[in-house]
Amino acid sequence: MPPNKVPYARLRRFLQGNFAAVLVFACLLTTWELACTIGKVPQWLLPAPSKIVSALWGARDMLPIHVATTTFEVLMGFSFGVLVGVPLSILIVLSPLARKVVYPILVVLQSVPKVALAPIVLVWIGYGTESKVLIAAMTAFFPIIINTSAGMEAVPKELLELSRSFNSPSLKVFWKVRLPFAMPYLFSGMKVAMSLALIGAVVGEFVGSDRGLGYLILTFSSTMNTPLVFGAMALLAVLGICLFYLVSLAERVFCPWYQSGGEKERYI
Amino acid sequence: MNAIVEFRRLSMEYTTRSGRSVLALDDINADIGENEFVTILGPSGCGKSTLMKIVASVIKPSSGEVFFEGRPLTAPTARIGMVFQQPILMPWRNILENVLFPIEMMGKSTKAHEAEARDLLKLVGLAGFEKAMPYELSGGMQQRAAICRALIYDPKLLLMDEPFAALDAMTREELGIELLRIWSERKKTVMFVTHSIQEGILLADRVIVMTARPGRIATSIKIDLPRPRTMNMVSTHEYGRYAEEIRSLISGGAQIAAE
Repeated sequence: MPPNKVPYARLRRFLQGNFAAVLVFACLLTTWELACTIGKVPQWLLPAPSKIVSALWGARDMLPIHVATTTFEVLMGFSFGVLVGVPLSILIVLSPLARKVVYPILVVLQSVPKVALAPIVLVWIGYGTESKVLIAAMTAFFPIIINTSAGMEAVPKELLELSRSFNSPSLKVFWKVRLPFAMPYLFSGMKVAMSLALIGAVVGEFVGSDRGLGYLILTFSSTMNTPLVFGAMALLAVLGICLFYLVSLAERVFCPWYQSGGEKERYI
Repeated sequence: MNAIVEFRRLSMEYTTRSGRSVLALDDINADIGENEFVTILGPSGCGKSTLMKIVASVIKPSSGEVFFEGRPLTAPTARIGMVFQQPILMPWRNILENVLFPIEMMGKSTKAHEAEARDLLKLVGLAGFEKAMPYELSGGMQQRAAICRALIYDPKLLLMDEPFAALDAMTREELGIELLRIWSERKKTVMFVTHSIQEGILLADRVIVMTARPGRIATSIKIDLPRPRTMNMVSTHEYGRYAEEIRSLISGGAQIAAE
């Protein structure tokens, strides 16, 4: 049955759901604004949303370079995470030996907080963008590996039995069955990875940098410029949301079957 | 009649995790004739699926032998087609691409087989759905496509392991009758596992009745109902006799196992 057989019901549900979300968000902002104005909360403690917006507007000339820097670090870190994570997970799935060797190392690596590693990374490869990219990549690649290998292993037994019954090379089975099957898993891993890459980049900037939204937060909070600290945080949030939706969009393009209404179990 | 599959003293023993050994199949001896439609009927746990997996060369028997076309079965072969309980179509491929999947895996030209795939889809009533994605189809339609996928490489033997068990009763009856139509058009040997007595009788030339723990062949009953079969035959006297015989065999076996 076509998934959009009842377009109006779906549309209405969509509007209703989002309307409630927007309404609640607007209420929260208004309460915040009113509380700050009526309660006369000092700006260095908690600036009202309107003050944050005007502070951002006032700083509009110097912001783009910082936004661009952080965006670049996140995207590069994310990409490296995927480029390293996917081949590694393939290795893990294909070779039990590799799995035995690589997995414990991964778990150890994952158990060390990246915040703790960040200073070392800076010592090793310097103060520049490269260190932030590396930290972002290190933070991002774990969910990629876990999800992609889980996806490749979740292929129904019968499908593998069927594929093998044609005496086709196992590389072909891998390429035609396992990898496409793991795509939705890869994408949900990438959604997490993108958020983590953002955290990694900001952590890197906190430890030492001269550009980026993390650097701005650090600088402005040391000068008690709280409105711009909040402004930078808001920009980080917007950046995070945009990047997340970028992955969602890619998911919708590359695995349309996964998006269509939670009926995964039925046809697998 | 020439036998296409021969089971000789076939046994299958499992060791469970707790270290207990379970005899799933015990001394199976049977012949499946060429172009014969055989249903394998029995309570759950009688080793029906194990038997199918052995024929598909997915697992190896503990002892005994299986001959396929006169030669011992050792490796999976494209002369055997498989249909499972779930359609397991690949959600990223459209219906036509799913049907052509075996051809692609065998390294043959999908172009050359496309017309055949379309014919098959027409045969099962899926004409016009070639470009549809699996998730746009109902469970019954997906299973039809899965049958096409098993037929596209023209296997001699079709293994069907409870292919309609996940479907609702009405779709199930409909597909059963349709399967018979397909079978009569493209002569094949079919081994069909089911735990529905009605399905077992209505489809089959012969019913092999199995008992559980250990899985043994209780008997093999030739079904002499005229073809083409219809659902109405359920109310005939002959059908009733077959059903009663099979039911008593299965429940009798269960009693022995309980003792």
